Amino acid sequence: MEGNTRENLGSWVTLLVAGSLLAGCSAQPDDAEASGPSRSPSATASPGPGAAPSGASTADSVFTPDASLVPKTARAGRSLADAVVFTPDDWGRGFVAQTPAQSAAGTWPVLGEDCRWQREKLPAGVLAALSRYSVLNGAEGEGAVKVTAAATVHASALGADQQLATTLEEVLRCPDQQPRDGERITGLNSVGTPFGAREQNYADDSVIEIGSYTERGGAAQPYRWTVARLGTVVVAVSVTGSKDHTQDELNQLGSDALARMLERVRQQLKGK
Amino acid sequence: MEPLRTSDPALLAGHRLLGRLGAGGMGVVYLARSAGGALVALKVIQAEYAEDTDFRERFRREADTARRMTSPWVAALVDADPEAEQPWLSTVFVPGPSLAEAVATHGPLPVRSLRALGARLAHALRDLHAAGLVHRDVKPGNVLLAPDGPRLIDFGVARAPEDTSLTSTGVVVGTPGFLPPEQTRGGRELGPAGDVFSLGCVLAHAATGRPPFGTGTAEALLYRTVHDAPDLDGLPGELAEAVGGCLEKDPALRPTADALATALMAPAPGTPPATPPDPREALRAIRPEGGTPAGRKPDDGQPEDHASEDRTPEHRLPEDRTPGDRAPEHRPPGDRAPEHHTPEDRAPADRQPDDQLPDDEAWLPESLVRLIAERSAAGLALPGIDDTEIDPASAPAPGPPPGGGLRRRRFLLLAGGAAAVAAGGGAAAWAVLSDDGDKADGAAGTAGKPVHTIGLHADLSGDQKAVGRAQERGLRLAVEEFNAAANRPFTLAVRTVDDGGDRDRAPAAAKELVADRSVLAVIGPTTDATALATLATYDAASLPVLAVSPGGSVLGAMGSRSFLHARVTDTIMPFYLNAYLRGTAKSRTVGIIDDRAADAYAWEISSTLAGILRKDRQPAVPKVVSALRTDFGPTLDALADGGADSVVFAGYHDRAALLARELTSRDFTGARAAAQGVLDARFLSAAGDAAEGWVIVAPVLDASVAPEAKAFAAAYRKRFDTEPERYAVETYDVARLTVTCLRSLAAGKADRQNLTTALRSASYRGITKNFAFDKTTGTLVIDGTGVHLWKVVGGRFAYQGVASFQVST
Repeated sequence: MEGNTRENLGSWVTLLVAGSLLAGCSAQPDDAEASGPSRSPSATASPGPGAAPSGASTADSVFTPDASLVPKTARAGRSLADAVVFTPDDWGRGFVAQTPAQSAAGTWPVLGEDCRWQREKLPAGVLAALSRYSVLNGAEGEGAVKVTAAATVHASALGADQQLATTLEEVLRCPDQQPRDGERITGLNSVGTPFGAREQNYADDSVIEIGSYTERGGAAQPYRWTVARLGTVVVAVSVTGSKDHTQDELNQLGSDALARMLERVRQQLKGK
Repeated sequence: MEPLRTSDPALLAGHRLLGRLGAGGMGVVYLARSAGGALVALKVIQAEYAEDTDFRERFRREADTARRMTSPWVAALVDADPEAEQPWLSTVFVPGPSLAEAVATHGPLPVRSLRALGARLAHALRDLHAAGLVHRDVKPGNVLLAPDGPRLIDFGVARAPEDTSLTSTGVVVGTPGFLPPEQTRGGRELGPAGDVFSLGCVLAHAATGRPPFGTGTAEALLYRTVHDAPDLDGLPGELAEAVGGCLEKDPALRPTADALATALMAPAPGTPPATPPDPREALRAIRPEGGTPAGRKPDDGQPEDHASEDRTPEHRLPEDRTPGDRAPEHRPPGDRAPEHHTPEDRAPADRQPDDQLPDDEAWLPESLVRLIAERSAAGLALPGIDDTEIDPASAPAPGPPPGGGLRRRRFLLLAGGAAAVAAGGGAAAWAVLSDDGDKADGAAGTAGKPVHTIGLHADLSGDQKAVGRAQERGLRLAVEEFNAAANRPFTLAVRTVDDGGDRDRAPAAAKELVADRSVLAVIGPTTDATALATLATYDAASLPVLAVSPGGSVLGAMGSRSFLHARVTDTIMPFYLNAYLRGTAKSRTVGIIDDRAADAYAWEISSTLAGILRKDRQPAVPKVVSALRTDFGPTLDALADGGADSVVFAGYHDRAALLARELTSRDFTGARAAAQGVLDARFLSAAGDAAEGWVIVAPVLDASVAPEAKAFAAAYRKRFDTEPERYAVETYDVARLTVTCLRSLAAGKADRQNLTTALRSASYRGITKNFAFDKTTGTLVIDGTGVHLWKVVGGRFAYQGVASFQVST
């Protein structure tokens, strides 16, 4: 499973890089602020029935959960998120909690019209959202590896799927984003890969974003945000590198974490 | 034909073996020269089975079956010895191509040929059934084509209806996809009606180019044969009843072979009979010797001295059945009267280059007549001819019969090519001469001309079959035009494989083309998914693969060394969309809808367009829609909130229709645009009036009106009797590009690797665009050509001309 995830993240990247290289030849995005009067997208997903896709959605679901175990209340959603989202210990030896260690209950992140991230109250249709922030501090003179693990539990698969669509939309709107004061993510590219496409065989849907992260005017570091959906649950992992770790090491760190969080979702919902 | 293996003997039962025609069942079939010098197909039981008494008994029945057959449309028995230590049987060697090859090369046969083919094969079955036999493996590979008609071959599984010994163990005998449903169940009810069903499949395949129950695994084919209706899309209406009757699931509802023959010979309303009732009449109609067939003037300048029988390849071999050729008791009862085979009939002097079958009387299209001629010529240029005649090992052969010296000399000349073709007087080779209309040139170029194949890997039966079939036609037109030239340095053939648009089937389709060493280039596949699934296969074989319709830029990033992208990528489309929206349509704020149901196709367009607009500091409202969402209402709410005054839809035709209806219901007045994923007739039917005014940017022009495609369109209409379909002229261009590169290779250098190199270095000006490629990735060099505008006007896609990528000011 984890091996598959790594492999498939690799083919994701092939497409992403191909797309960005070609786009880059002809349409180099500049560093301008996000332009235009675009509005903050409504993150509210109508929790309607999970309508069957009429289009070219590629394959059957990867996972059929036990319906009785799928969270239907905020409490159940919080419980699931708590059990799934990586703690510092889960990330491995040396990882410790950042400050704050996790997101405020009852909120989730929204990318504003100004391309700044802020947390807002959960909209209807979202049962729970939890992010935990960890860090691997380097030795003297070495940079840190900052990681985020997150889970969002929706009331419907459509709502969860729309979250991934919104994630893709955010990069179209804002290739440069400001997660917190003093932090910037720039030059974002992204690609979504539904189950069955490009040999993606581990989640109903997935998105990867790649860009550069800078903190308080420091050196740019590679940034990677991976998102995957299983049914009504969306899990995500970000890894912000340091020059003391190779890109492969960082990619593997993120892929392993995402794969293990997906496995936890499976175990919690006992899908077959 | 394969060469002999080291384990094969040089001489066997008085025959000199020349090569292997195939290994079927438990026997090997050799091309052999009889003691008397005749070329025969010699079927020999392999040594390890010869001791099996059951097998020997089966072989004896096979020989008896063949002896009882007198039909002119069955390859006749020449000799047999079921009692020999190694039992063997020889039949007339038919050097023509199989129907399978002919359909793969030429495509669907015209209705006139279908009637003749069907009627004659039905006659063959009628005679077989009258002898109390059932063939049980009627399929395109068991039908060989000769200039005067088909020959049913291979009695390897022929047996009386009551004989079920082969299926008693549950072994399915025959070829899935052409088997009747009752045969898949085994059992005793197998009868002549099963052969009729198989013949229906053969005719449907010849009429449409596709097996009526598709392709795939044996299990899938058997299942579909039993449960599904046949795919008869494209079958000429006048044959629908006859072929459909053959394909009834219930054997009792099928016509007899005799009734089928009668039905096929019945003229369609308003047309002359395609095949006279008696096959011999058919022959006389082609070659009037005594009488004058209706509609044919005796003084029309056609020489009358060519008995049509002379046009069968086997009769070109005078050694065959000449008196003294072999012991009379070995002559099969159905052997034709010797007077038809006197040397005078075949004297070279009576072949005149200007003697040509009138087109409306020939049973096959010209291109197939040429194919038969070339195969026949190749069959004559076989190894070991000199050996056979000179090698002392052939000493047991009797001395040349009267006239044998002349015949042998002719034969050797034939093998040598050039003048030999004319001198040999083979009817098939003759047809080539006539066709070329240039004796010296045609003769020089025919027998020794190499045959190169261009493969077409397409979706011919799935979601994109309209595109795949148009591509097949574009390719065939280019190939036929090339082959029509007398001075061509080689002959082109076409081989198609259909993956049904299914990426799981695509690799097997690619492997089929890869395995055919005559295939030097492949056009296709039709879709991005099937292309992605097969580039590695083609790359591993260094087989150049030219994609005409897929658009993913990822195709050029897969590391393939043999890929050529014959259109601009989807990433380029947004530049044209931008130019249209902001230039022509004067949009101030562009709304972009990315439909995740269209995955990478949508994303290349939406993300690139968003990037272009950002770079130009133009406002845009991008929206990404979940594939699970069927209601575009919330998306349009958001576009309206963002002030979008136009909409670009990055997605496919089906969901574009949903969006179109939603836009119309909201009285949206702004511009609506999309790329080629919406250029599909199904968008028009699903969206209805809401499709009106949509503008499509696509890497495809409308050859029926574009001035630059005028000559192509005329040729297309003439050849296919229809307006040019989308992607046909683009494929025609790519085929001609391929041919140009192939021609540039020195003789002996025409291989896949060299062709790949030549293609990637090419600079070719086509009808639709200029072709030049990145030598590393195979992507098309972008020069602004090759992208076109379409607009929905009055419920149809109206061509607007070449698209611009610059925003006019």
